[in-house]
Amino acid sequence: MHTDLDDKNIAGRLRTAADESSEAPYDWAEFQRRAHRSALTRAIERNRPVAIAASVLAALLVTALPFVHATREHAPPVALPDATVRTNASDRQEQARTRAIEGWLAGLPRDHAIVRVGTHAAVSSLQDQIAALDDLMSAERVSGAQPVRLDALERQRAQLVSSLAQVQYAEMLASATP
Amino acid sequence: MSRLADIPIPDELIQCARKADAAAQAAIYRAMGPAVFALIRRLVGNRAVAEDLFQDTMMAMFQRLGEFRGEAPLGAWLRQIAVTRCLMYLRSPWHRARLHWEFGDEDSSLRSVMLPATPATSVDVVDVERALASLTPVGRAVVWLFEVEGYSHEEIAQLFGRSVSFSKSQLARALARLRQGLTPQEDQEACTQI
Repeated sequence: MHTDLDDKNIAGRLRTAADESSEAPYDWAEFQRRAHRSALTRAIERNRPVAIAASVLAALLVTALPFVHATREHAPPVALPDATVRTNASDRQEQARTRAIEGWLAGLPRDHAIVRVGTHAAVSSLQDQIAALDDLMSAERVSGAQPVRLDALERQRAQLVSSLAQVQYAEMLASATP
Repeated sequence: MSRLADIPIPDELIQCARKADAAAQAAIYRAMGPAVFALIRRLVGNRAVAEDLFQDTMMAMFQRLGEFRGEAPLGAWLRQIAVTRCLMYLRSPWHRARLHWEFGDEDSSLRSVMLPATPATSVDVVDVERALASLTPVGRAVVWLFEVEGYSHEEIAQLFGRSVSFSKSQLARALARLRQGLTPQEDQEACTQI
């Protein structure tokens, strides 16, 4: 025997089902944890264009630096204008900053599981240039080069270290992005 | 009668939650969470999707609590956020693709599996859940919004961006299917004849 149900009956049964006790899928602590993770993911998503821009900038820098370096090496050593000679205090500040960046770089894992070819090439190139500059500075010191010349090399090295940090940071952000 | 809109939340608690008071926010979460999740689960069916939408809805509520003017109960305002998010999901190409991957053919792609999140306490509720599971996602959303949450056809049409007759025809079809699913089949042979 069929019993026809009218719409009111169905609606009543639906409301009864809605009244059945239900629970939130997780507690407040878990909600907060997920909210935090979601905010972090969104921040990474927001920073993705910045990371890409930094990578592109670093790649351009890496491409341009050998030309600049070659030009300087072939150019006769000239004394920098007085205005560009910095005080000892700002030198120390610059060196401290470079040391801090180097410390941060040293703390990074040697290699990520997945490494982008472009980034890897940029990092290797920058590391090679920093090493070459270190050799050059040692040689200059031994040969008794002018402090102005050493200052210029030191500044160039700081720029390279800074570029390396930018590339590594961009890679780190890209790796953390799901 | 709406379930969410009936939950009383003191104004003082809302004021504290607006000032990012964690205890007040936790109290609102505990009061509203179960009803919000029940509504979302009924609308989208899939539990994993419902959890994502629930998280999204509750986060949106706390982020936008400053915009809540108190003209309607907090539950009604929160319900609007939840329903909007569910319908956005149901309309999304991702949802259609997921159904296609899971069910393949066109006919079954209209349906999604919906199992109760918590064990139902009565046999009738199990029957209702089963009958609801046989509906299309849109049909289920329409029937739930109309019959349980108290939305009008005009409001449903506006939510879906469709006409009033769309809402009426979806409701009629969904009720017909529910009637079919909930009618006891006493004349049907229950066991194999020996």
